Amino acid sequence: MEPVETLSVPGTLPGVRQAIDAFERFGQRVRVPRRSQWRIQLALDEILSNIVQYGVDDGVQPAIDVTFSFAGGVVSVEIVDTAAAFNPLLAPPPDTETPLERRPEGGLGIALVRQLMDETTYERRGNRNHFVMRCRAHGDS
Amino acid sequence: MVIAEIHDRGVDVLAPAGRIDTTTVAALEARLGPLLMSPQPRVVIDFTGVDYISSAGLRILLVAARRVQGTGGGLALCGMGDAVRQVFQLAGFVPLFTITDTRDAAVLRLAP
Repeated sequence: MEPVETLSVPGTLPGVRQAIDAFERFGQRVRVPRRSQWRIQLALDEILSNIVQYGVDDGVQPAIDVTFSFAGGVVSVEIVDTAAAFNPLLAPPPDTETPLERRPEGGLGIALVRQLMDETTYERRGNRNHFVMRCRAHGDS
Repeated sequence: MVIAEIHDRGVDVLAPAGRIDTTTVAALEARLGPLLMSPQPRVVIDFTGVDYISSAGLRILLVAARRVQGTGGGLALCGMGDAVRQVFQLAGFVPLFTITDTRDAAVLRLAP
């Protein structure tokens, strides 16, 4: 049977921590190779942090549901949240050329996610953002 | 997050352990901040014990690098494992920093 785990976390920094810790345990349990494990943990951190930092609406924290699965050598993470519509995939690519003095501080996180994952999709369904990212398990362990 | 602090040949060395992400970056920022307040900061961050770094960590390093620029001091990074190094490469951060393999080499670069 394909391993799947779903959890709901509050849209707060402790909620982000809870989700990352849960994925760490999931990855150990289903034996995701280490090189994929950190990539997904990092991508999860970036996407959730973005929701928590920018998705608070009138003081109301978004609710976040996260589903992890590992099948056919591919780890998938689905993140569903109730924050305002936001498609991270429309963010501009990172600026990797500009010298230190003028290097922008924003946009780095999303850029990393796109580079770390093999596939990312976004969809707005009703009043929820659905973001899915997939990463092929790199065979190193 | 556990962060060891060592003073070596006039250089402040911070050695954080674990992952530098949104939930832990404040701890590193709190330790780094006072060291950067010195008129001529000489700071090494040793990544030997760091599993990975997120964009939240990259941002404070960018700010730190700007702070030391033109002070006559310096910031050097060392001991990066694969995960940290890859994130630096993906973000285009490698040219912005002095990066060495060993802590000793980093300290030597900055020692007065």
